[in-house]
Amino acid sequence: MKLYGIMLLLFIVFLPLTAESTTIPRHEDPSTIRESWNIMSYFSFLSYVSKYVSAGNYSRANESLTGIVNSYIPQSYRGVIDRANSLMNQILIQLNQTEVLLEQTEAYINQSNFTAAREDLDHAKIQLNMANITFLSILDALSTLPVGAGGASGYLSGLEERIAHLDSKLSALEDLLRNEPYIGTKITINVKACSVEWGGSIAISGMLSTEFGQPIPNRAIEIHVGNKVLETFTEENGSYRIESNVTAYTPQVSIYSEFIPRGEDLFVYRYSRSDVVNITVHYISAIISVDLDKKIYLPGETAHLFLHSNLSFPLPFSVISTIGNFTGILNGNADVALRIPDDVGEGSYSLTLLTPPYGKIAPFRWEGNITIVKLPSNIIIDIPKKVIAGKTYVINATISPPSYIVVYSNIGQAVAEGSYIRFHVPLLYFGKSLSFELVATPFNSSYRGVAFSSEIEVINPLPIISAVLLGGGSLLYFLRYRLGKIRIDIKREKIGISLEGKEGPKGSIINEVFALISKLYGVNMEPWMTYREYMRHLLNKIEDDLATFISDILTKLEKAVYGKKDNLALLKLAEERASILYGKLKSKLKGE
Amino acid sequence: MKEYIFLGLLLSVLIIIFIAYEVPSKDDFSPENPLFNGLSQASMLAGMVQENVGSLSSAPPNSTLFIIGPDKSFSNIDANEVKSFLKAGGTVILMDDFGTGNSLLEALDLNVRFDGRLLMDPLFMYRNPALPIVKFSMNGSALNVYFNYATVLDGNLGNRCIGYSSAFSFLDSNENGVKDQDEPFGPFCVAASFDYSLGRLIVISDSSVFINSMLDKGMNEKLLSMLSGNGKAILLVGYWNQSEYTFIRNSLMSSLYALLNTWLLYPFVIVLTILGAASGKIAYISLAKRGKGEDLQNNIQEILKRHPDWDEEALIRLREEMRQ
Repeated sequence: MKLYGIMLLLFIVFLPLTAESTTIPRHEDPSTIRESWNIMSYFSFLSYVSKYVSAGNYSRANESLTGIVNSYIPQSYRGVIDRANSLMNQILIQLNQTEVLLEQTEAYINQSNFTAAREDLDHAKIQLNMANITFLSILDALSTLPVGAGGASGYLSGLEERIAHLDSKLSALEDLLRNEPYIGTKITINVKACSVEWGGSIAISGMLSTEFGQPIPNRAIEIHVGNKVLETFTEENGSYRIESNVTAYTPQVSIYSEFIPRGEDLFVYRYSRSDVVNITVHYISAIISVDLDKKIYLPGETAHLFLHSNLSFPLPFSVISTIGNFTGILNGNADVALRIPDDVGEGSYSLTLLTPPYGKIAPFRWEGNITIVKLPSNIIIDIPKKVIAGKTYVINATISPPSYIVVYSNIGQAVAEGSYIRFHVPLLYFGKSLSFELVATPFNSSYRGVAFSSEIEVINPLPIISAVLLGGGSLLYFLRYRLGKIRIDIKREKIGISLEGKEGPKGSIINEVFALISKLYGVNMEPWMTYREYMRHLLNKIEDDLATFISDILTKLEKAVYGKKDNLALLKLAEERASILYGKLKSKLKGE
Repeated sequence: MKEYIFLGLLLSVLIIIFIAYEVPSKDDFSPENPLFNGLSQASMLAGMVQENVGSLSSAPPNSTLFIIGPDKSFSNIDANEVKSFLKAGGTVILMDDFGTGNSLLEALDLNVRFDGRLLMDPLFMYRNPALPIVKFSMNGSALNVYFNYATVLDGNLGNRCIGYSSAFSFLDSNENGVKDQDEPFGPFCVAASFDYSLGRLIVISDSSVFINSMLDKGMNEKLLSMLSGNGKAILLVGYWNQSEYTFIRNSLMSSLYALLNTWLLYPFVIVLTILGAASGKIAYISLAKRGKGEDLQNNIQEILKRHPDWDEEALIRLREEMRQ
C-alpha cells in the first residue's frame, strides 16, 4: 500500500515533465527533410542559358551556368548533370571564341588585312566544329535523364540556333576571302631627326604606292607619334608630309604610318603599315626630395613636409592625403604645414606629392606614408582584492590625462564620480566574484583610450553565518542528546541495574534485594518488567510495611536515573535504604 | 507513514534533478538543446552568455546581442533597453522569420520589416526549396549562407542590404511549394545593416541560420564568427515559448548553479547533511522497529503464558501498530 502510494506520488510529479515543446515550427531538420527536386526545373534553368547564347549574351549565359553548377543536385543525378554542366561550360567557351574570332576576321577584312583575317577564320572554323561535337555530347549525356534526348534538344534549341548562325556567318566570310579582288599596297616613312627637344617639331614624310610601285594619291594616312595619332593625305605623286610637335615625357618615341582602306577603297586595296622609327626626346625631369620633420605624429599636431626641388623656378604642386590636402608653389624649397585632424585614428596614412606637367618639365609623383600614433594613457586604480557583500566601496582611479570614465559591473551599481568610483555590493549578492570594467576616454585626443577590467572576490557573511549557526546548532543538538544518553548510562552503571528491568552487574545491593524477594515471595524481576509492573506483582504477596519500603527505594532510583538533576544524594539514600531492606529480608529468611 | 512520505519526496527530488541534468531541453533555439533545433553549438562557439533584457545596461559597449527567433512581442520598456544598448555602442543581431521581431523594429523606429512570406529557391538550395542559399557580403567577404524556412525583408533598404537571395528565388505566398504567376521572383534582401547612434543593428530574415543542424552548412559558422566580433557575445533569453519541462529544468539548473557556485553552497551543504542524517535516522528507526516487532511477535505466546488474563487480539494489534 505504501509502495503504491510512493509510485502514485512519483507518477504525479513526473506526469507534466514530458519533454515536449509547443513552439511554432520554424525549421526542419536538414538531415531528415524530404528531398524536393524537380528535373524539369533543371531543364528550365538550362533553357535560360540556351536563350542567352542564342541572343549572343555570353556573360549572362555564363552567370546562369555558374548558378546551375552551384545549385543543389540530388546524388542520383549528380554524375550525369555534372557531366552535362561541364560540357555546357565547354560549349560556351567554344562558341564565345568562335564569335571573337569571327569578329576579328571581319575587322581584319575591314582593314583589308587579309592574311590575319584568313588565319582567324581558320581558327574560328576549328572552334565551331568542336562546338558542334560538344553539342552532340551534351544531348548524349542528357538522353540518360527522364526527359530523353528529344526533350533535351527542345530546351537547348537556343544553342543549336546560335551554332547555325555562326556557321552561316563563317561561310559568308569564307566566301568573301575566297573571292578576294584586292590590290596590295606599300607605305614608307622618313623622319629627318633622330632626337628632338620636348615641344620641338619634327618632319615626317613618306610614300604610298601599290605593290607594283604605282603611287596612290589623295588617300588618308594615319601617323602614330608615341600615343598621338595624326592624319594627313597623300599628294598626287603618292607622297605625304606632316610636321608634329613632340610633347611626350618619354625618353623615346616610336613613329610609324599606316594605310587603312576606307569607303570605296575598302574592297580595292589591302591594308599596309610602314616600318617603325624611334627618336629620342629631351625634356626636364623634376627631382623633388620630401622630408618629414618627424617620424610619428600625434592627432592635432602639424606635420611639416620639407620639399626641395632640383629646379630653381616655381613649380605648382599638390599634397594629397586622407588626412588632408595642400596646394602650393614650390620655388626651390618649401615647408608644407599639414595639420593632422584631432579625430584621426592611429595608423599609417598615405601621402602623395604631385606636380603637373609644366612645359618642358615632366610631371613628378612621390608617394610616402605618415604615421600617426597616440600617447599612452596612464591608469592607477586601487581595486580591492576582496569585497564584502552589503558594503559600499569608493575606489580612487588616477587617470592621466583627465578622461571621461564609464564603469561597467555585473552588479550594475558602479558609478564614476570624477576620479572616484563608487560601487555597492548588495547584501543579497551571493556570487563569489564580480566583474568590474572601466573604460576611460581622454578629453585630449592625442592620448589613447584605456580599459581596465578585473574580477573581484566577494565575501558574503550571510550564508557563512547561517551555515555556522545551522552546523553549530545541529552539532550541539547531537552532542546534547549523546551526552544525556551517556549520563544515564553512567548512572545505570552506578545503580547497577538496567531501568528496562535487565540485570546489572552482580553483587550490587539492589540485585541482592531482588534475589532475596524472589526467594521469599517467588516474584522475579523479569527482563520485560518495569519497576511499576514488578511492584504490581509484588503488592499482593508482600507485607505492607515492606511494600512501602521497596516502593520508596524504587521511586528514589527512578528519580536518580531519569531526574534532570544529578541526584547522587538520592541514589545514596536509595542504596542506604536498600541495605536496611536487605538486612530485614535476610532476617526474615533466617526466620528471626 | 510520515517517514515513507519524507523518503519518497527526497527520492523524487533526487530523480528529478538527475533527469533534469541528463535530459536536455528540446525547445527551439534553446542554448541547452543539443538536438537539431537548438543553439548549443552556436552558443559554445561564439561563447555566448545568456542574459535577460534587464541586464543589458551592464554589458560593455563592444558587446554583440543576439536576439534569435523571439516568440513574444517586445514591450516598450524592453525595447528601450535594447535602444540604450545600441546607443551605448553595442551591436544587435535580430534574427527572425515568422515571429514577432517586427515589434522591436517598430519600437526602434526603423523602416524595415520581416515580410512573413516563405522564401523558396528551387535552384540554390539544400535538398528542398525551403532551405535556400543566400549570399552575404560582409567586411569585403562573400559568404554563401544556408537558410531554413526563411522570409525576406521589406522596406527601402538600398545599400544597407548586406544579404540577397538568388534571382531564381521566389516568395511562396500561398505556401504550395511552387512558383505561381502572382508570386514575385528574387533577388530579395534577406539581411540589412543599420547604424543606430553609436551602435549597429543587423536584421536577418531567418532565425534558424545558427541552429545545430544548420551551423555546418555553407558558411553559416563563418557568419556567426564574423557577427560575434571580438567583444562579449550575449544571447537574449526570455523571449521564447518555453515548454513546461524546459521551465522546470532551467529553474532547477539555475538554482543548482546558484547553490554550487555562490556562497549559498555552505548553508546548502549543512542543510543537506542534516537532511541526510535525519533521513538516515528515520530509515534506521524504521528498520529497527520492524526488527523489534518481529521479536515481539515471537514473544506474544511467552507474554500470554505470564499474563493469561491479557487479550491476545489486543497484543496482535499492538504488534501491528509497532510495525508501522
